[in-house]
Amino acid sequence: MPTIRVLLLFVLIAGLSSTGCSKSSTSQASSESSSGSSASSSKSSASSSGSSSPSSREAAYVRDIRDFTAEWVLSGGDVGTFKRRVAEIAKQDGITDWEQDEGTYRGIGRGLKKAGLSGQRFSDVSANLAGSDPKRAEWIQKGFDAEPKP
Amino acid sequence: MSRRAFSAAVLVTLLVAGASARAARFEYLYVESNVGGSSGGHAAVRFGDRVFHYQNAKDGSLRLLREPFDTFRYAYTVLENRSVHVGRVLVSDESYEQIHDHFNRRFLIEQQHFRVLDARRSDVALLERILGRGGDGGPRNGGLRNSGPTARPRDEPKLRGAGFFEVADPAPVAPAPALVALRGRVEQRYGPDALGRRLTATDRALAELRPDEAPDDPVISSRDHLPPDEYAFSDRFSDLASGRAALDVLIDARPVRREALRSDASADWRLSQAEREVLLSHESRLEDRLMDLFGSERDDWGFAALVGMARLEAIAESLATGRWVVLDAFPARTRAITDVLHPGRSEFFAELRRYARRDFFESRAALLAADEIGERDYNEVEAAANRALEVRDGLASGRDIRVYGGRLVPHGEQSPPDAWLPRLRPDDAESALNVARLRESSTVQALRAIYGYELVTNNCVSALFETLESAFDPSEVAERLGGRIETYGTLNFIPWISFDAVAREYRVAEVAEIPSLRMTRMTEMYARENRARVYLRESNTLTSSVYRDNPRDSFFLFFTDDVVLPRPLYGALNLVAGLGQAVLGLLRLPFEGPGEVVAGAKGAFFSLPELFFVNLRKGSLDYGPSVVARTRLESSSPPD
Repeated sequence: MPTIRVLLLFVLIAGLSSTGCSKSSTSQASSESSSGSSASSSKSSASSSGSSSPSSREAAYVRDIRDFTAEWVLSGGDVGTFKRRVAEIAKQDGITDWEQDEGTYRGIGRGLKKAGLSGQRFSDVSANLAGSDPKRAEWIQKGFDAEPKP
Repeated sequence: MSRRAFSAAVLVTLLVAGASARAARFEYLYVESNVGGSSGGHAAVRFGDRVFHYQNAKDGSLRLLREPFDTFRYAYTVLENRSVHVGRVLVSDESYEQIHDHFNRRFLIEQQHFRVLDARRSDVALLERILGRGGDGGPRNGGLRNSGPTARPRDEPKLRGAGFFEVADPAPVAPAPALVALRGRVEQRYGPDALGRRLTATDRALAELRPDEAPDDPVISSRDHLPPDEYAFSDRFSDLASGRAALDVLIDARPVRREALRSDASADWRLSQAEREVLLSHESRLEDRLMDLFGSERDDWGFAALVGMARLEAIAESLATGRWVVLDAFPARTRAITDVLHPGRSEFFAELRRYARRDFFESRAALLAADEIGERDYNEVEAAANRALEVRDGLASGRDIRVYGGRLVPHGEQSPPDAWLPRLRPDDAESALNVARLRESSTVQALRAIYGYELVTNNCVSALFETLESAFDPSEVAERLGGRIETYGTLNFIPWISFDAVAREYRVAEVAEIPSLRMTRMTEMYARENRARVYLRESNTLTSSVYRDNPRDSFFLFFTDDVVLPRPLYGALNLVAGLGQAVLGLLRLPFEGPGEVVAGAKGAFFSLPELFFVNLRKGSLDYGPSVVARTRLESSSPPD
């Protein structure tokens, strides 16, 4: 039976333009990465009940900023690009004023630790990203302390 | 693997896990096949409430998607009527985090890669506008096709947030009190001529803005590395122009356009005293933040200031009227549910309306419970209010209901005026346009090399396993996961075969199934009605109470996903019905178009596997209630 299924599948593969992977417009439309939508995904998009709670949403945002920050440190990019890209991630999470969001800086602090920064190097990068705002520096430190050692 | 062997494997796995101090599980999800682009099924991995999966997009790329599990389950088990098989893989806490991080990291990097393409396309569109051309067409949103039937106009830079405000020229408008107050505070902090000076500096920067010149700049090389630092011409323009628009709005204290504000006269929208206090306090904090923004050096300050000022006016209006007033957050271009008064969709819409209303109240309760309201909390209410009102108004008036799949952050887009466009000599702009096209083309090539869909080596399964196993050093994979799964040179790239491979090779502790909508409903009906009657009624598309005729489906008569022995017979009948429909369609071709022929031919084609006991087709729904998928829990059982 499995052999017949495989043979049939290949016949279908030959007869179709695509295969194997679902091209669900429903799913694609509701993806976090998507800015589009679909009538078929109307339940999930017309109501946000399928989405996460605000607290888990913030946790996911902090995680995104952490992972992106760690990647940025390892790739050695410049601060200007970093901030623009953080702004993009924040916008996707509903945050326009990301500089005022504690989660942004806690994520940055976690990301710096995840990338293996410590001591003077951490202090330098942290100061560069926090600017002259002591509150942001404090948030970065908070994130740094909360992240387990890499 | 036999049931007994599997049970033994599970036992050993659990014993091994018991020896370890802590363990976690991620889930490998196999979605059963359906007709169309998913004849072999689909696959995904789940970490908590998040699902990652690869899908081949229309432009020929394979994109990594990330979405809430609830949404994924609704899309596949309800709308697509496909059962999902779950393999729970036991790993250490450390491995779990490592795999989850790796998927998340790949997702974020991929977003940045396609963002580069978007920016380069916007560069082309902006230069075409500077040259006074309408654009030559091209896909939006990261598509990899340059031309062809799916090509759409490129996105020229738009100013998000600027569209919320009244245009002051040619007629002046009455100033908005909230912005008059803000302007006074800004002038007090930064000086009376600070806004004017910044405006002059921004105008000069816009006029002197020059496009990127390097045609062969480094592009994307690997899905594991961020793209190089870049501040695209169109992004620089958008940021400057947004700042310019924000300065204009504050200097003139422009009011928000009436049609950009949404509210409702019903009791649901009345502000409670506690909400009034919370909004008052949020208004004050928002003003402080806006003051900071007008002195900020960050590139994207203009967008944040525009949205912030529009929200400030919405809050002032809420406090003045005693009702929730929010910005219309939907983008200008978004999809919509049409034919909302169709009787077959009433159940769905009743549920949709209930959920939207519930979300509105829940977000407001969360606002009151928060120690200090942040932008995220306010956005939750704003988005929920927009959705609730959209559904309610649509159902009341019969107009289309707008829907949006992403996070609903206020859009308010507007094209920048010509006067703000960079001043380039035509020859320079022409030359820059050629360079921009080369840059776009090289980015498309680079992305295609990395993300191009391949039937075997880069499909939803092979890419999933590649990502999963590349989270570890190759020498550690077997130890971390229990084994390795090879997709090259095997049939493991096929979703339903991959699920067996996972059960066989990885440390699978449990297998479960999330039944499709039809299967779930059938089980419920069998439990309370005469089985024969249920079977006769639900076995076909004509009398089924679960399935409704869906124009997206090809033509068929009998469902074969819940039967085995009669499958070839039903398949033969489906084949004949499909062919009959195609012939009828041919006769009616001049009047009805090719739709019936195509539906009949496809229906006949997908009946062929049924002749050999293989079911692919499940039928799908355009709309469906989510209650079933939410309440039906997975049942655990070892595989045969």
